Amino acid sequence: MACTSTRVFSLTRTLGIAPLVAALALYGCSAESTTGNASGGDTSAGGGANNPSIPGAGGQVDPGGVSGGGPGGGSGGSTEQVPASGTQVQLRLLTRSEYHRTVSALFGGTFAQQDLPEDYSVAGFDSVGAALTSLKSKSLEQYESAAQAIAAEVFSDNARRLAHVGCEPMASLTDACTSDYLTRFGRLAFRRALSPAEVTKWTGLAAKLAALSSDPVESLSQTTATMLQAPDFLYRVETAVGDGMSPRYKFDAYSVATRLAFLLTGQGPNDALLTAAEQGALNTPAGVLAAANTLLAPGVADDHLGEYFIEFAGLTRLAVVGKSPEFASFDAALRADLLEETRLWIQDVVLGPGADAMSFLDSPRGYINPSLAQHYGVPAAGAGFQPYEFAPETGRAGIFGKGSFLAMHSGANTSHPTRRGVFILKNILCTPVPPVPTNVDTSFKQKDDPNTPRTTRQKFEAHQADKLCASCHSFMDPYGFALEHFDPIGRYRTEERNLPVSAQTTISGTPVNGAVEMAAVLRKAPESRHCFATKFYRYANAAAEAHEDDDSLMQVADAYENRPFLWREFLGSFVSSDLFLSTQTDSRDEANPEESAEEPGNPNGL
Amino acid sequence: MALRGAVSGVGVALWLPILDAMTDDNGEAFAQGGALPTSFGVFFWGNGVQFADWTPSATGQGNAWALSRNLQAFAPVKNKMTLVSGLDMLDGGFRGHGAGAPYVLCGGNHSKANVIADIDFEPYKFEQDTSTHTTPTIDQVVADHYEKLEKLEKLTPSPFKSLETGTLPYIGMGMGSISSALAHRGPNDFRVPERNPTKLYNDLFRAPVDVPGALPSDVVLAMRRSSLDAVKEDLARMKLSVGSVDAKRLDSHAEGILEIERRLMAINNVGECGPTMLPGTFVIEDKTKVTERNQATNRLVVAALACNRTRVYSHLWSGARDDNTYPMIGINDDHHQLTHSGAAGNKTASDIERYIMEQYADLAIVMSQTPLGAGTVLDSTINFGVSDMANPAGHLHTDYHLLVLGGGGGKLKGDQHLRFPKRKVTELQLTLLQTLGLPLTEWGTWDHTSATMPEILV
Repeated sequence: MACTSTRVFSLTRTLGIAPLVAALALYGCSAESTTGNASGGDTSAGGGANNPSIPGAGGQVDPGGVSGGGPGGGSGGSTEQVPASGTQVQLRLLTRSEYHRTVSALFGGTFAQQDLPEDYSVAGFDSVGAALTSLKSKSLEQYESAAQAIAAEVFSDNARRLAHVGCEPMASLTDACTSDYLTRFGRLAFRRALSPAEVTKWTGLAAKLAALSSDPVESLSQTTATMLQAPDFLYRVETAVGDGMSPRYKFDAYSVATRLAFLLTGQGPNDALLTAAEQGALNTPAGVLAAANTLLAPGVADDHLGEYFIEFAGLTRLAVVGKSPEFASFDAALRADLLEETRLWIQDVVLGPGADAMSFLDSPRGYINPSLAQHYGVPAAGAGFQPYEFAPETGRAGIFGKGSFLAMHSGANTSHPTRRGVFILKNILCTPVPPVPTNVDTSFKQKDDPNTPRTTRQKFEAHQADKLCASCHSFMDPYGFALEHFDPIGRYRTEERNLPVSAQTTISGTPVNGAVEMAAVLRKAPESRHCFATKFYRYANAAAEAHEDDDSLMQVADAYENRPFLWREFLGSFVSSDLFLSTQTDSRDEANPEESAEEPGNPNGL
Repeated sequence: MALRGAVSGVGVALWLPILDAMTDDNGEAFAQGGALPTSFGVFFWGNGVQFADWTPSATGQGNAWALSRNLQAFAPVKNKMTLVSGLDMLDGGFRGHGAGAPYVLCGGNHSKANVIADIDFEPYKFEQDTSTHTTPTIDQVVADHYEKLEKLEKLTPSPFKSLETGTLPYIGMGMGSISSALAHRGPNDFRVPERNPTKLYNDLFRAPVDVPGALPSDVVLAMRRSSLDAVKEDLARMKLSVGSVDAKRLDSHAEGILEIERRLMAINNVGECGPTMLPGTFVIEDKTKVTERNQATNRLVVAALACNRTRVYSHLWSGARDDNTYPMIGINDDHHQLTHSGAAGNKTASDIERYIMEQYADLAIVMSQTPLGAGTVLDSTINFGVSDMANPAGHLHTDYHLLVLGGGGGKLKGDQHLRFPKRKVTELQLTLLQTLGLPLTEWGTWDHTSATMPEILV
């Protein structure tokens, strides 16, 4: 197998993760031959990760051989710029959060949480899964029940119904009141103006239901509920149009409004944003930036913006992660407190006025209530959650010091340095991690002897006694070793089984002792900054980054190389760039090309 | 003739009357014609098996073999059980949990199990949080076949084309849809298992029309159909403007509406057959009640089969490479981690597997106690029990231990332990599919086997 991994190579070069190259070689992967650079992977030829022109950054991994090559030096693939013509449409199902926020905005007020289909997380984000998953009858029935419950709540209250509909329709639902309401509601629900044919269709349904039931209120409620089950509501329809000259498809104005609103506020566009789209105000980057700045005003969508970082940190399943009874204090209340602390902390150090988002990695601040003070072993700061500055000797830095993160990324009864290390590599540094080698007994070779206790670290270091195991563990585990002062639920420890705990390790060739020092190294690494941007790109676009976008992505991130990474400013730059306003390919169409060749029909022969 | 089966158990008690109108005089066929179907099910658990406690000491039939330690719970239904051991994935080498699941459920090639082209620029196209099945799982292949038969032979349709249940929510490092769902119809096109017995009961046996106001139910039903028609129109229109990936998603959406309409057609049968007691109330995260919750689910699945609510069912006990703990049996370590923790860990993992098999056996035993036609639900089913691994410690795909439960409508021999080293899992799958009447001569997109395993058949 001649694996290609140009991104891997550029990262290993700049971060000094040399063992990864060796690990890849175990699988017959030849990084040197696949950089897509005639100089054999010399990043200096086109600039390193600090240079937006990363050699071969456009290359895509292809087990069959070199398949990429993009701006900046890749020679492995086609760089031909094919003019975009026609349209590309992508459907993105509303996530549960988006659904709830959107219906609240459509009807005003809040509703009981409906039993909606589970979100589908792919590559760490529900938004990516929402562009891939399909709806089944069970999900459709859930949407049907939710829509009926929401509509019934609005329409069963006369005052609320009148405020929502704006008029009192005739019993037959064939009047202008009905038509005006459905036209207005449809525009907001479908995030675009309805065509005359669509208005006819929906008013026709209302009239039909009224004829069936002789109950205009129930019928208009049912029509409204049906619109909430329509694909134009359940899916975000994002249409990009090619001009026949540029290689990129540019999202149309309604799609820009939709993308902008969901990304920045977690709900569909409001009347003002749709009007801006209709009046051409979103046709220029400056216009989009102006609209974005309105949506990004502090206090407008703080909660939603913060939830991105909860997903980024992999914390969405904290409530169900299993722990041994010896960690009985890690109950539902503590889990909720830890998550709330993380949310408050994100609002402060990442999203707060003038905040440097890279503080996500190294901020000493926390938020504690009496329960968390006890958990963290620090003095209580008062009732409720209060900001708290962790002293360096507490070892807590950034997300790596949060009990939520430490508990989520560990085992039931072990701190699991490998698991923690893999998460940091994959999600903080965007560095791939190879699977376990072929035909290897992955059990710990050195058996536990009750008379000779070992620390978790000592057990995991046994991996490295085996050359084959060490090829991967020697670059995965150090990130986890740096967190060894934290037990499986994030409490600080200096001893384990009466043995001293060591968090000394080497990250990127730099000796570090503990999370604070590791965080300092990660903050300086350009890979962290780039990964920040890359992960957000995937979240925002629900797709793998097109290799054509790599350089631009790095440029946006590198603008913050020597100054605070102002998150709202970054969002503004991002959404007003081609990274967000246009697209070149639909990465979903590139997945499983061989399997696609076996379609249509059941490839098993039926 | 009226059939009644008394089934009692934790969480739900069942009386399962199948009315005269539903069967012929002999109870062997539907009154409208057509044999009572052989149903098909899959039971899946993550992390493979510990051979020491799984492999019976002898092979053969009847008294020639005895159940191994971890299979003891199947004793009441041993006569309807076939254990096939020794089977391999293609070459038996390491390919991880993410490769095992596509193979044992689809005969599929793991190397294509990835949902987005290179989202992490990773050369490893499996065991990622982007993994999915690229071909339909075996249960969905059967479900499609039965649907075709229903239309072709105008058989009595069962309201649910297939039924998906589960027990443990996935805990682990993320394996995409492979771990979170069993039944797949294609990439990212999966049917979410229902883990809540109350919701399962409502899905299966509640009248499919809510009557929110004072309107008569027939009016509500007509309104609901009109709404579904309106949505279908929009799906058809939207499909014209999207690419191939989204067109398939919209097809799936439309298929879902057809399934709802299929249930509406069966509305008059609701209440004629089914449990007379509601299942208990359970919190999915409460592991102290997992046994009770699972047994309630088992009884509802059996009721669904006895009442012809479905002919195809699958149960995802735990996902591939699952890291759940099992405090309900005093085990508080991660399951997957235990399989890599030496002999002591493997022994504990084995205890987990024994517990899982006890829950699986409960399903089969309730089936054996529940009349259907002239026999029992177990007589008229084929249930395929599989995991994502053979030997989890080494992540090896050699010596799979697979279970086949049920009489297969009189076609399965049963009470056998067969050991076939170096033969392929796909041979068994193809045999089961042929036994169910599927016109297949080859199976598996990886090894494309045409070999079968007639030794399991009468």
